[in-house]
Amino acid sequence: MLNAQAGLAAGRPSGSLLHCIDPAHAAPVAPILVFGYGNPSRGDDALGPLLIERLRRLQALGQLAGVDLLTDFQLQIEHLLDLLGRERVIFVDAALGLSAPYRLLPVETAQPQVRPEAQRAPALQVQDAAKIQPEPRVLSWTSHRLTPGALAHLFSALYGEPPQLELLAIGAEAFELGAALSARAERNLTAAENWLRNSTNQGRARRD
Amino acid sequence: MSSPLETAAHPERLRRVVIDPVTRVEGHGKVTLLLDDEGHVRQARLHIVEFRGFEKFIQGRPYWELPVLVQRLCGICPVSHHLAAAKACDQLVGVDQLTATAEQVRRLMHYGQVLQSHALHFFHLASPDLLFGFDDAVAHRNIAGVIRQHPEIARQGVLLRKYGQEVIRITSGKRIHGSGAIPGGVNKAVSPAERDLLRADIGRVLEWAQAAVALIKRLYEAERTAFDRFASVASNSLSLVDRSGQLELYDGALRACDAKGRIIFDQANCGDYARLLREEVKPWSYMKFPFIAALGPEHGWYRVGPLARINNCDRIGTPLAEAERQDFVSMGHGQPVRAALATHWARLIELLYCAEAIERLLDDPALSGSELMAEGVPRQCGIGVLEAPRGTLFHHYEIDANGLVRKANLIVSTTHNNQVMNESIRQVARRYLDGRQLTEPLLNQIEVAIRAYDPCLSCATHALGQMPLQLDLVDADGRLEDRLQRHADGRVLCCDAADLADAADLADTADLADTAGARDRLGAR
Repeated sequence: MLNAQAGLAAGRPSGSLLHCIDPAHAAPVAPILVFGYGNPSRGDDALGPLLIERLRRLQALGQLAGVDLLTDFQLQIEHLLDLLGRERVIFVDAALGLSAPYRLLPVETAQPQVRPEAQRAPALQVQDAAKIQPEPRVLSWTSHRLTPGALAHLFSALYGEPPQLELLAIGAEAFELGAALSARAERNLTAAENWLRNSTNQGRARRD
Repeated sequence: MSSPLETAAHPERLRRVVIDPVTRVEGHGKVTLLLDDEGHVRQARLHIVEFRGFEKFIQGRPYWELPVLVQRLCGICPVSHHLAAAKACDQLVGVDQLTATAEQVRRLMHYGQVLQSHALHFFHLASPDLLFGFDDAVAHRNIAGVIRQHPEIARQGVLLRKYGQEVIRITSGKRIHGSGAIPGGVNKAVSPAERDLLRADIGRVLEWAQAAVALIKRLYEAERTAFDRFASVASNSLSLVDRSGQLELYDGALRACDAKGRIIFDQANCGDYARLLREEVKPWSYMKFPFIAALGPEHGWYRVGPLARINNCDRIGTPLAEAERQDFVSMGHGQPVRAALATHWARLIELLYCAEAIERLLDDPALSGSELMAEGVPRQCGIGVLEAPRGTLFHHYEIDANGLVRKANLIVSTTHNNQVMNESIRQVARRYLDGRQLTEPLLNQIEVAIRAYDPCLSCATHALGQMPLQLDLVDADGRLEDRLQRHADGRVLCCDAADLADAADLADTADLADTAGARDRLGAR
C-alpha cells in the first residue's frame, strides 16, 4: 500500500515516493494495516489474499475507513516500510493445526535466528494450546521470506518501536498447487472476516 | 565431459559431507563433497534439488497468456520472464519493431527489475559475508546482523529495492506478476504524474547506487589478494551487447569471449541460439550444462551475468557506470576479471547503470505516448532473449495454427552458470577445504562462491519428462541390490554399484524431507 499511489488515485499532488519510504518525509497513512499474504494458487494458502479481496469489496461499499489493505505472496524485507506510521498491523496467514476457525496471535519483536527447518513448512504451523508461538523469531534460510516476528525485529532495528503487530491465523488444511479453497477454510475465512470487520470498526469507534 | 573433482574414482570408499540446503540463494540446492580418509576432497558437486516442468505445463496454452503465465516461474525475477516471453510473443504476432512508447516502457520496467534484484541480492544475501567475513558467527552473518551493525547500509538497500519495485508497479500494474507487456507492445504508458513520482526520487536513488559501488570497492580492495584468488575460474563469457558493443540488458546481439577476452562470436542473432549453444545432461543433476557448440562441452562452457556482461562489453552508455567499469576492468590488466567475488562489484556497477538509465528514460516524452501497440503478420515461432539480473535468458516458443503452444524451450540464467558454479566450488574445495577439519565457516566458503552467482535454482531445473530418474532395489538392511536408471535423453540403463555416489545424490535430491538441518550432519554418511 503506497501513500503516493493513494494520492494519485485521489487526484492529489503526486509528491514523492519518499513520502512512503523515508520516515523523514512520511505522509500520514491509515492507522491500521491489514496485510494478507500467501500463494493464491496453492489451495488454502490463498486465505490471506482472499480475506484482503473480501475486505476490498467492503471498502468499495464505504466500510473499513481508516484501514489500508495489502497483499503479497510472502513477507519480504521491503515490507517493513509498509509498517511505518501505523498504529496497528494485522498480518493474515493460513495456519495448520488450529481447532478454532481463527486465532489472533501477538507478534513478538524478537531476535531473529536462522533455522533451516522454517522453510519446510508449507504454511504457518501453530500448536493449538494455551500459549501459541507462531515462530516469530525465525529468519528463513533463503532470506527471501521473512516471518512477521523477523520483520518486526528488523523494523525495530531500523526505525525503533514498531506498531502493535498481530497475526490473524486462519485454519487451513490443504495446500496443493492449483487446488481450490477447502470447505473448512472457506468457513474459517468467513468467520475471520466477520471478526476482523467488527474489530476494526470497534477500533475506529474508540479513536473517534 | 568431466572436470577434475567432478567424479571420484571410487566414491563408495569415501566419506560424504553435505551442505544442504545452500543458504541465502533462491531455490533449493545442495553441495556434496566426497573426502578420503586423510580429508582430501575427491569429488565436489552442486546439485539442484527442484524440478520445474514449466515447458510442459505451458504446452497447449494460447500464446497470448505466456507473458503472464511464465511469471509464475519465479517470485524473484518474474519481470524478466514476463519481458522475455513478451519479446518472443512480439515475433509470434509479427512485430519486429515496437512503438517508441512500448519500447521505453518495457525498458523502464526491465531496469527497475534489475535494480531491485541486484539490491536485494547484494544487501540482503551477499553483504553479510562481505561485511562480517566468511567465518563470522552464523547467527550474526545475516541481514539482521547487517541492520544492527550497519543500519544506514541496510536502509539504503531496502530503499533501492523498494524504488525498483515501484518502477515495476508503475510500468506493469503490480509490484509482482503484473501484465504491462503484451504481444506487440504494452497495455499502458507511464502517465506524467507517475513519471514525476519516479523522477522525484531518482536523485536519491543515484546517490545510493553510487554509495553501493563505493562500498563494494572498499570491501574488495581491503581483501584484494584473497578476493582475487577466491573461486577464481577462467571461463568463456556470454552476454548481449548492442550494435556498437555497448552493454545492453533489454535487447541486442549475442557476444561470446574466451577466458582471455578474445571474441568467439559477436553480433550473433539471438534466433540462432540453438545453433550456437548446446546443452549437456549429467545423471547427477537436474540442471543441464550448456556449452558453446563450436568449442564442445569440455572447452565450451561459459559464464553469464554481471561479471560476464561487464567483461564482455566495450563500454557502458551512461557516464557514472562507464567510469566505474573502466576502474573495474583495469583490475584485469587487459584480460577479463575472473574472480567470482568480483561479480558483486560488477553487479553494483550494473545497479548504478540501471539508476542512470531510469533517470534518462524519465526525461523521454515517449514514455507517456499514446501509441502502445504495433501489428504485423503472425508467425509460428518466436525467440525472446534479454539479460535478466543473473544473466542471459532465452524463451523460445512454437505455436500451431490456432495459436496454441506446441513447443517451448526456456534456458534460464542460472543454467548457463551451472558449470562455472561447479568449477568455483571445486576450486574452493581444493584450496581451502582439502585436508582440513571441516567446520561451518569453512563450508560457508563453498556457499560464498555459489552466492556470488546469485543463482535462482528454482528457475533453473529440467523440463518435465527430461528429468533423470532411477529405481533402486534395496535389501532389508538398506544395501543397494540393483538399480535401473533413466537418463534425461531417454536411455534406460542398469547400473553397477560403482555408481553408488550418483545414486545417493539423486536419492537425496528426490527426498526433500531429508534435507533440512543437514549442515549439522557433517560426515553423517
